[in-house]
Amino acid sequence: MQLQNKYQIALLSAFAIGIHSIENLLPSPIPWLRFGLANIITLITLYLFGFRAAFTVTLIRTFISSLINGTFPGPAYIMSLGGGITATISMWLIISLIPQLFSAVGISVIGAFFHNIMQLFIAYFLLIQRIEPIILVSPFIVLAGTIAGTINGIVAELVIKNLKKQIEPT
Amino acid sequence: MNLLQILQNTTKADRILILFLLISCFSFIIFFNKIFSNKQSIHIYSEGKEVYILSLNENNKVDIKGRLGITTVEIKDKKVRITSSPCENKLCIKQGWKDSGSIICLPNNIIVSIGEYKKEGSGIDAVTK
Repeated sequence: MQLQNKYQIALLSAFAIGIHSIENLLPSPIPWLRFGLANIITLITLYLFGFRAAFTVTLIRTFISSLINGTFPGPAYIMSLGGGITATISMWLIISLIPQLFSAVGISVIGAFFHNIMQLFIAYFLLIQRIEPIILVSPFIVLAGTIAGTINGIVAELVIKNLKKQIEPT
Repeated sequence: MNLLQILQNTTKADRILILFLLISCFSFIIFFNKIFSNKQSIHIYSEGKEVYILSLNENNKVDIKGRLGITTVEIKDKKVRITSSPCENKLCIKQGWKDSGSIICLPNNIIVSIGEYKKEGSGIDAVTK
């Protein structure tokens, strides 16, 4: 990896960790219902620097923000890690396989969807071990994820467009 | 670059995907509510494991093996009680007929719960304080 790429990864990870931590401080009606704003950073990295950078940023972000929040080896960390990795891989697959079909909004929604599905799976295996509550709660989670994903996608699209404008003329 | 332009830049596939997800979520919510609602069930746990799920609407009588011995649970007229228990103080039997909440026999390690028995602090992805 080139030196410049390393700096960018560090900077983007710092952004992601900051956003993730601030988001954790926001009050929410249900403790595990969050916006997933850090996904914006993952999406921007994926568009501007490719899959390897995005994957590294996701790994760094989940690890360090779990250390900050004090959830490091627990199920919350594994859920965050699994969700983040699945979202990154699924978004990358869609971008590289069918590049022109979706805009950043659609990609973000897909990422949020797979993030939620993976988290439900991990919650089933690690915490609850009964399928009925998972099935009952899954449409609500996916619904919230779709709405949050749409908003994240719009923000990501704005940032990507502006960054590309700044990068390209120079 | 303003918000309207972003919305205009979304492709058809985006809109179809979001619409599809929203519609399927709503229909699943309605669908599941119909399946799982007004089906009150009794969950019986022995030594932490779920051993029986019974319907509250059917009269029934079951024996459950606990830590000390056999506890008998009776369901009648949408109410539930413990009829016999090997424990010393028989607090579970003294609770009598119940139609909500749960009956817990601590010595024999048996929980008879109407509806799901909720363990404290089993929420997903909670923040540790």
